[in-house]
Amino acid sequence: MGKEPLLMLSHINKTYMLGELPFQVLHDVSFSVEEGEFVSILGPSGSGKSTLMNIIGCLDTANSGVYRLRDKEVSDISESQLAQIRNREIGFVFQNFQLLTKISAVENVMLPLVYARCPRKERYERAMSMLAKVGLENKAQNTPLQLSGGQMQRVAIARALVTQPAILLADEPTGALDQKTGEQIMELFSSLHDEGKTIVMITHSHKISSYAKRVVHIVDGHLYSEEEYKAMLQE
Amino acid sequence: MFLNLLRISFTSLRTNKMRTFLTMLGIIIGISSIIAFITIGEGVTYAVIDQLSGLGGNRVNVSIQNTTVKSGFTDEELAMFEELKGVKGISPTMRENRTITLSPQLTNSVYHETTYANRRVMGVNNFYFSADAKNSLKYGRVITIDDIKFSTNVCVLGYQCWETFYGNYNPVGETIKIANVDFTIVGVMNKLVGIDVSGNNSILVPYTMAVNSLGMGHVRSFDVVVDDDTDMQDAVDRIDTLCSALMSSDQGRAYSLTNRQEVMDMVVTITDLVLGMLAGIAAIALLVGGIGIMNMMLVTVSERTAEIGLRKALGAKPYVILLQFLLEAVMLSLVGGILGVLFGLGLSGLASFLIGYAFSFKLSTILAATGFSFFVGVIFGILPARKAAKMNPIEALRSN
Repeated sequence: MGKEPLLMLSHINKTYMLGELPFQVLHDVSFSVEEGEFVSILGPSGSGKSTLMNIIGCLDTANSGVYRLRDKEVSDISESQLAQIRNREIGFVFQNFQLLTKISAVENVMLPLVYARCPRKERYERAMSMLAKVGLENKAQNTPLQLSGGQMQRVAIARALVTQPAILLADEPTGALDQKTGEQIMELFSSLHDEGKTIVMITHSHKISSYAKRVVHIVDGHLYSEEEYKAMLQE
Repeated sequence: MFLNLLRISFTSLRTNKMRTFLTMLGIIIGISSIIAFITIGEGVTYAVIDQLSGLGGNRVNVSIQNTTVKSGFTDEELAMFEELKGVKGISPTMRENRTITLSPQLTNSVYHETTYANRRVMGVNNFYFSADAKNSLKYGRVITIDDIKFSTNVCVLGYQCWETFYGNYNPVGETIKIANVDFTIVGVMNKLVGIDVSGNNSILVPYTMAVNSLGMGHVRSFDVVVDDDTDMQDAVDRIDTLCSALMSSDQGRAYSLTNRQEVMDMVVTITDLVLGMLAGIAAIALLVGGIGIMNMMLVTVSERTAEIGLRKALGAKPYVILLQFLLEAVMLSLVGGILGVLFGLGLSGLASFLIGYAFSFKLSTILAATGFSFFVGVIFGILPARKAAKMNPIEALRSN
């Protein structure tokens, strides 16, 4: 038996209730990511890409189908167990950074380690080394409001990396940044990929998705590979 | 983890200082009024009981109610009460007003009046000075058993009478007239403190003199002081038996027995009742304070929806979120409670200073109040904290 992919979704369906009416967001989605891959999920708004991201990020569970992450079945488990998986295996990078504004950059980076019950000294050291990695060790004591957008997103990336998660899950990471800063952030992602980090990025931008080594398309809740998508467009 | 949550809660409370303080104020007012009511009430009750028992809680008053059955007790009858088992002594209480005339050679006095109308004269026995007016002699001597036996013309001045009559001059040996009968002053009393301070404003004479020479009639009422190690009820029963033997009547009971212990119990019961009511009102204030906490926590939770979503996304389990917000509510209420205790003690200290009783408090009251404020935090914090813990992280994140 060969090595299982790091992340594997098979036949995932997700339906929301819109008032009385059921609305199927994801249709039989199957998708896998190997360790060290940089994959982009590209789709317009309303395509179901956020729902897919929530499922990959263990913020939500599917109605049917199987999701395996690092050899573990993560569909149909309790909220506490999901929280633990998010803490250990997922590094979130959000469009609007999601930093706590009242605490310093380094405390923001330390936050996931608090929930991992990591001792305070070790937390601090690990957070500082992650800030150094994203080039912000001299801004460690600043609060997010004293940082630029690009710097805030770097802090968020440091926070996502600090637990050494299985995947870095980025949702429109440049969505709130100007073009130049956005490019710098994407270069940071590329260099993280070069180091061997597994990255899954959700975006609506073709340009941003081009930084990824593999692009999958999501349209109306259906997932297509690059080839399938091109073939569909030609039709 | 717990320390971290404490830090988070503390930081959050510190960020909104004004709001935190105002919310706490409800608890501070509630707890401080409970503490103040209870400690003031206890202090006053203790003071009252102390004074009552200083006079001897173990005493029974015997009074003739129906003078047609019996007009008064004779010396022999009084002696029978004195000899009852378990009785320490008896103290007749005869009080009537008489005109007092100071002797004319009183020239050194700062006062010039020499006649005082309507001064209270008390007929007492030697026992009065060992039970009712213990250790209270300023000058001279007390009235002795011989004074009683031989009806001597002697008197002891109460403190206020002495002050009025003689300023601060020692009058022992002087002669005064009580209703035109000469009496020699043999002593002056110190100021009495307590519940029954009638002696301060009186001239004390042997009760036999009061009966024989001052026309005060017979002894109709006296206190029986019971030994400390005698059961009160047994003593009351024996006194009752003797009374009915002395006052057999077909017109029903001709006398009354009043047990001072009963009076003390009644005082305690009444103060407890009043205190209970006040503490109840204070508890309502605390309840309102608790609702204030709940209100603020609900506001906090909805204001911090995005933060809750983020913390959940980063791996905070629901119970950790619950604990974080519960701790915040408990901290708010507990700190308010501690401040309330201090403020309440301050109030009751001030009250004891103003009213003039010894300030004291029970540790158990303080612990109970602090514990109570802790539970207020838990009870009113649990709902908002549960709301936070149950929040869907996706929707919470989206709220930012």
